Amino acid sequence: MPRIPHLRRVFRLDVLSPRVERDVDDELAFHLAETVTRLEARGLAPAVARAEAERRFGDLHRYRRELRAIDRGRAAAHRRADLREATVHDLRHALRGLRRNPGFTLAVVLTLALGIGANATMFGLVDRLILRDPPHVVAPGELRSVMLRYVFRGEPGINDVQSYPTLRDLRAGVPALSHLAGYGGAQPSLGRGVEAQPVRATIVTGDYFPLLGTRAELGRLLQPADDERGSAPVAVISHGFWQRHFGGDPDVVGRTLQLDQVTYTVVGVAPPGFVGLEQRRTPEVWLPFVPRAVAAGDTTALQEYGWQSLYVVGRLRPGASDAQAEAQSTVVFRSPRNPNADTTARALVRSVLPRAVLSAAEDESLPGDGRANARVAVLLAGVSLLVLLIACANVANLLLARALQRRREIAVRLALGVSRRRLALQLVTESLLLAAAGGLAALLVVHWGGLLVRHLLLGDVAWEGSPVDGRVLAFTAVATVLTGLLTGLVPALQASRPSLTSALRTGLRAGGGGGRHSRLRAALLVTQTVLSVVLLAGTGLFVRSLVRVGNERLGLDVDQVLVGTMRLRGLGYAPPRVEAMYREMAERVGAVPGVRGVALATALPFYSTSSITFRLPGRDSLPRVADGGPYINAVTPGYLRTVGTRLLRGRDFTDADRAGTAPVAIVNQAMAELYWPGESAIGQCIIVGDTEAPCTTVVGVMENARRQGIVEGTSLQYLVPLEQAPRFLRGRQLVARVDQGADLARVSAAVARAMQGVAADLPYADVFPMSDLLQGELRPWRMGAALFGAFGALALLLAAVGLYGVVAYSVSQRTQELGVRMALGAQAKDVRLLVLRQGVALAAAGAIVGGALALLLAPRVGDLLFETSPRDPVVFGGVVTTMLVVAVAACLAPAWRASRVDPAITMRAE
Amino acid sequence: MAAADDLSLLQGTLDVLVLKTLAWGPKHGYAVARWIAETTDDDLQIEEGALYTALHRMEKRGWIESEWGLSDTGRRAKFYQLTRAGRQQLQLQTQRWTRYASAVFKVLQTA
Repeated sequence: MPRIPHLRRVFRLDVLSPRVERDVDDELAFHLAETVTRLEARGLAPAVARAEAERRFGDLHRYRRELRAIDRGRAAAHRRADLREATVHDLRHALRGLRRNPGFTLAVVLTLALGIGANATMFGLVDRLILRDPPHVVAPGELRSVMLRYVFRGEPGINDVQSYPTLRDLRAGVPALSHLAGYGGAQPSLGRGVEAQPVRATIVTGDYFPLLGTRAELGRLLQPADDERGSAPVAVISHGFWQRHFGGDPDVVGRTLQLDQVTYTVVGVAPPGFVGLEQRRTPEVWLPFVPRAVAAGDTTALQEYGWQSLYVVGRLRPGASDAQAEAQSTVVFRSPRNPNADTTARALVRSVLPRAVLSAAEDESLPGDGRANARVAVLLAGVSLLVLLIACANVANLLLARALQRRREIAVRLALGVSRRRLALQLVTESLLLAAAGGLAALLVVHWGGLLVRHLLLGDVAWEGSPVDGRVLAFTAVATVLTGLLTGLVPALQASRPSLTSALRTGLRAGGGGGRHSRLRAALLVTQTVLSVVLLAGTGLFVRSLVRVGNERLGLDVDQVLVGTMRLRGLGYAPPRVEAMYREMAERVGAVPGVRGVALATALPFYSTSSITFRLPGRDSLPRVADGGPYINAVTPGYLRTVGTRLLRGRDFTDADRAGTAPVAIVNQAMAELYWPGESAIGQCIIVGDTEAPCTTVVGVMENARRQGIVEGTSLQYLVPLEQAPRFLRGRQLVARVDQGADLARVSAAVARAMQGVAADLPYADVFPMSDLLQGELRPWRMGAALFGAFGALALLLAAVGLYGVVAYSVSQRTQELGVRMALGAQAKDVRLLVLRQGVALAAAGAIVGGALALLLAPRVGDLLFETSPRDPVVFGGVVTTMLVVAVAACLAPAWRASRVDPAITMRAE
Repeated sequence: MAAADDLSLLQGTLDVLVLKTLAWGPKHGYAVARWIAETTDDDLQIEEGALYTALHRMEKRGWIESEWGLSDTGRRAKFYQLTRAGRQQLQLQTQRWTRYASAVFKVLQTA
């Protein structure tokens, strides 16, 4: 019997079910027919023979069913094995091809790594800041925060913290919310004297933990009974604090913690990663509100409606709505029991989930921080997506070029009968392989990029763990697969349907079917340029804002200034003793190496501000300015030099300006011009505080300085000597100017030690650079500039690579044409120009469209800019020029190569 | 005819019988059935349908493979032949059967 083994394998046709069924039927029919023939030969009648054959066989229907089922299973297994084999084959083929073109492979993998990596990094940030639910909180979607909207002098505002009595009233008056609890941040001092250090604490009311439904890792969490008058002070500590401070002692429950003046007993440890409802800080301890207030002798906090320090949260009861909760809370806020009640008050009840701010991004009335963060995050996510699209366009372009180079190979394989589907699958396998390599490399980008962004831009957010976590990994995997498919499909579709004969005939040379491909490639390239220009325009706008902020004269020179503060309230020192201690601190700090000048002040720019009754003799009313004032600050001599504010006229305070001598003041320029226009302010009389007070003589005029932030109007400010300060100006801050080039961190630590060393029972001193106070306000510009800058540079690089690829490819395709031109007398210069013109035309088209698009989009970020028009001509001119210069640079090498074409060789090749 | 609850025993037995049948060379299902019937003088009385189940199941396991060809009578028939795995299987099961049979035989001898 002649048979070729595995013949069916060679002509592998899909074993489909109808075929399986027919085979089984044929096989059984053959068997029965043979049996009948044999029985008839033995002399049985045909009908009897047939019956006997079927009897011997058994239940024909059942066996037929069984056999079909078995064969179908076998066919499926075969198909799976074939697919596996084909995939392995395709992978090997793709690997071989990629190894043969290391330059191409590297370019694609790098491009994808940057594109995917940038996206995954952004996703990680957005996820941490916005998307993720707070850990260890049961059903966080049901939690609501209760805030108060008010209108003050026609301006709407929001109060997000409430007083303890208001919380008590809300608990009684808002049945729509259960477990209403309050929490607020605090930073008590752990230990005393030189060794004192700050601890991040969250002060919570009794229902806070029951509200969240969190389970303790060790011991128990706080409960309502811990938060009553007379409860013994107890504390819950974080997992991290347990490890750091108690060395992970398993018997930590029952040990004590001395925080400020109170000794707390540790009752439990919170699970790792638990931060409560706070996003921007990781608390180390949780302390009950009432015992802390009682122990500190601070009963006003328990009774005064004006003492507002608690964020109020509750859980929406099943069946209740936000509107009900708001209506009920509004009634409480307007209750006559509250002496501060405001008839304009309306409650605002809102989900506590960070991502709730996304849907509320346009809600003008929300407190600023969350909304701005959400907008920046959405903006960044959009920008990073743009970059990924650019990367995809670029890779698609490179793959397309490669597919075109292989057109002949592909045509040959098609002619040999390889199915188009199979061929397309092979090309997609290749792009998936590239994407996978890119995805792996992207994880490195995420790791380092994530650390960099955290450190540089979001340093004040308490981060834990690596930037690469499970969710980021999953995101990267999905992005990788999508990218692989996206970049692979276009070339696969294009390349697997070339006109067979023309490709075979013309081989690798230009001509057959090239037109459509090159149009597609040009379109991809223009798209890329457009996106780059949009991103670069964003970069330009933010950089310009940042430069303008940097050049802005704030009336202060904050760069080398340290601020030192210490909370002495509640320690029981008499005011003269406090005064003396601050003097001694200033003296000791002045002796710290690296400190050039030191001063004390009752208020500080960007930090605190005071104002008291103020009048001018002989005037009934004073002109006002928008930003209010006049604001008073009491300082020691040398304050102006220390913070870098210029004295314009007159003199600074001296040690001779003391209590009992003639009162003196220094006013700022705005005040001098407003109150005494056209005359000198020096020598004028002002009356500070008590109306019966004697004349305070103006002895100097200082330049206008910022009071609360960079973006603000000019305000009226004046200084008086600390020794002559009105008594109630109690706040004390120390400022120190540090030598240029000194190590700020080292000097800070020395300053803190010097301050804490003044008495054995002092709490920690909080010492930080004054520029830190501006970080929050600078962040949007800095972040915008850095991220748009990074993405813009990336996009520009990708566009340049893409342009180079397209032009170089086109030159290799046109070698023959160029040869003919040169043979006909074209100069090398002409050829170079020809090639350059092609590339620059593409880039120019992209730059024009991109510029127009950016002009259209720019106003959307207008309010994030600083004194920069969203249509700044310098920025837009610069961006378009940059794009064109880069385009020329990218085309130079191919143009040079084109001009070196030897006509003789190309003609002979014909 | 075998009762339904003897099926598991029968299955293992059938497998080794069919494998042995195919050891002489490729055969179609009818030939396998005839060979077994003639060799055992019809003592086993196997339902022919069960033979086919065994053939298809072993094909799925990769012990045998099939090919369509022409029978001696000139009709289209499905031929089965042992694969390398099938040969190994036959060897294995033959050993197992011999050991089993001799063990049972020893026990019966002592009676």
